[in-house]
Amino acid sequence: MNVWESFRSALEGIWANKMRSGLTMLGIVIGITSVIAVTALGEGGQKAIVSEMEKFGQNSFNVFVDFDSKEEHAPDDLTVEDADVLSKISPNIEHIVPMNQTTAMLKGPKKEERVNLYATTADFPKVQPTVKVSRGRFFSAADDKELRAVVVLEEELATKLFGRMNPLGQRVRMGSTSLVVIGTFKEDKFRFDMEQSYSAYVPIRFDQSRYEEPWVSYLIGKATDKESVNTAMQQSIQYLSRKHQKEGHYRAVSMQQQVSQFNQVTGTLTMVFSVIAGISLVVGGVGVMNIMLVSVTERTREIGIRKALGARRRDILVQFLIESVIVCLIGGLIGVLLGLGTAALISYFAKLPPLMSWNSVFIAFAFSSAIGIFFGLYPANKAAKLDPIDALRYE
Amino acid sequence: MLHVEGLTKSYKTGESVLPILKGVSLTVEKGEFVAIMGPSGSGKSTFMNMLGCLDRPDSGTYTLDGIEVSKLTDKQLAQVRNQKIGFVFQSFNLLARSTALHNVELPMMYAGVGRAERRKRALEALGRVGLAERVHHKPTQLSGGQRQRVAIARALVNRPSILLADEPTGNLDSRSGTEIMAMFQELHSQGVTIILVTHEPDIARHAERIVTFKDGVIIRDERVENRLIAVPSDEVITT
Repeated sequence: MNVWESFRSALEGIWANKMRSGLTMLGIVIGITSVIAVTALGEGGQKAIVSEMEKFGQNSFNVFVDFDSKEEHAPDDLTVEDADVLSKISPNIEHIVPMNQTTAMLKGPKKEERVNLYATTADFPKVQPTVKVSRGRFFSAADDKELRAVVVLEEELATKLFGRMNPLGQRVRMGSTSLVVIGTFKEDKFRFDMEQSYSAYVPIRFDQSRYEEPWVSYLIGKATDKESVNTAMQQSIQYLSRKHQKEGHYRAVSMQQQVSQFNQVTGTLTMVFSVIAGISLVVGGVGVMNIMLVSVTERTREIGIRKALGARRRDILVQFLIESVIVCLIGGLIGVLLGLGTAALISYFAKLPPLMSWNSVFIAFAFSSAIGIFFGLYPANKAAKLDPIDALRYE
Repeated sequence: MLHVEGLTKSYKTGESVLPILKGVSLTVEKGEFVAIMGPSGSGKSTFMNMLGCLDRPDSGTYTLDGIEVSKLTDKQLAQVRNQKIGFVFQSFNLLARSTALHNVELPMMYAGVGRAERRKRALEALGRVGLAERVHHKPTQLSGGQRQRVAIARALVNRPSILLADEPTGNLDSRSGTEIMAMFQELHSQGVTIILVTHEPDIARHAERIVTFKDGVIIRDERVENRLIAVPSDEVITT
């Protein structure tokens, strides 16, 4: 009997026991659905987050003082001048800026708000393309050098502080200091950031003049291209170690490293969840085996008839195997559709970009036919091995 | 064309071994119509299974159409069943979910006959047993006699060397039984070799020769003197 005939008679067999075949499929459907949904969401989420991270510049890197370093930390471990020098001496660094991050209360005519206050130099927008000036201007090198008390506010913050009034040229109070608003900006924020506070930028030299011991939290650099990121980081660390006479005191991390680290973590997570979901697939497979065994017993007489009419062991084996593979494949198909639907639904509500992974679809099909064969083999073999006389006598 | 020599078979039941066939020898020529009789437990069914290549003897030889069957592998036995033997069972043994047509096509599927040819031959065979109108009926939609006729069509469709019928009238009323016996005699007259197992003397007397089993051996092998001729109506005429 050729495969096509076996295929047809298998379909007839499945159709003749619709309810039972449906319930058998359900196990596979649930298993495949969960695997597909998990992997699609995992991969989709991963890609979404990575593209968010890359928005901040694939060539960018941060240099900071290693917290684990044995050396004592000092305020002048990182200085504004370090950034200036590094910008000049390293051919691999396009720009590098110092950054000091604090929180402050800013008070405008309408309201007072707690903000993240970033102190940096005029080159900052070149390093961080996500910050775009919308009105006025970012502060200049001259503003910085002359310690001018100026501030650039996030657009929404300006609205909070000033209402509908044009904030440019107006003043905001920060404690006892008064700052002139010279610009506003819009920020393409990291979409998955839960923090919703506003930010404002001030020139770092002005900011430092307010403290006795001014700190620089870290440096943000941008390499000339992707390939020179590592060299740029090395050069920065080398320079800083030599300049401050502190070996092993500095560390640098690139966006690329963070992305790949993140990928590794989410990849592992996705895999763990897939395996958990895969367990339900195995349970589904056991269900298939169970029903196939029942089916073999039920159709003992049919098997006897077929054997008496000249069916070889292989014919019977193939017939039952095809039946279980078809059940699993149909289950798999429904599972893939449901899984992708579930993933699409979740990504819609979680505001992730919808994403399906052809990989997982392929794997799901391969997996469900493998399950069909694996769990169908035992019952099919049992059927094939039946003695024709016993089978014919079976009531 | 069918030759059995010193066939033995025993079954193990727990500790003890129960001999069923104790050295059976028989020759059936091409075109013969033989009835095998005997009380239940006489070994006639086991013998039938041997002839049908459904079971292997413990010892002895069985030659069918010049093939030494007792030495064949399972796969080869399946092929012999498919090509050389047509079975008709007491309980019809049709596939319940399939139509008459599909049931008759089944042996040809295992023989690897192409789709169109298969259909043609199945329709032909069903026509020969008078079921041309009922080819798309399922067994449950047919009467007992009709079911047995489907089974006969199925048994003949691969043009086997012998037709093995195991109590073919056992589940039928006398009228349908006569119908089936008339069909067997018709087939016999066309040259089909038939071996019929029955415990009813009246049925056996439709054959040309009666072989009687008792306790695992043949105790009688005789020509039928007053052969019954079945006519497909209520009456049975003696010649």
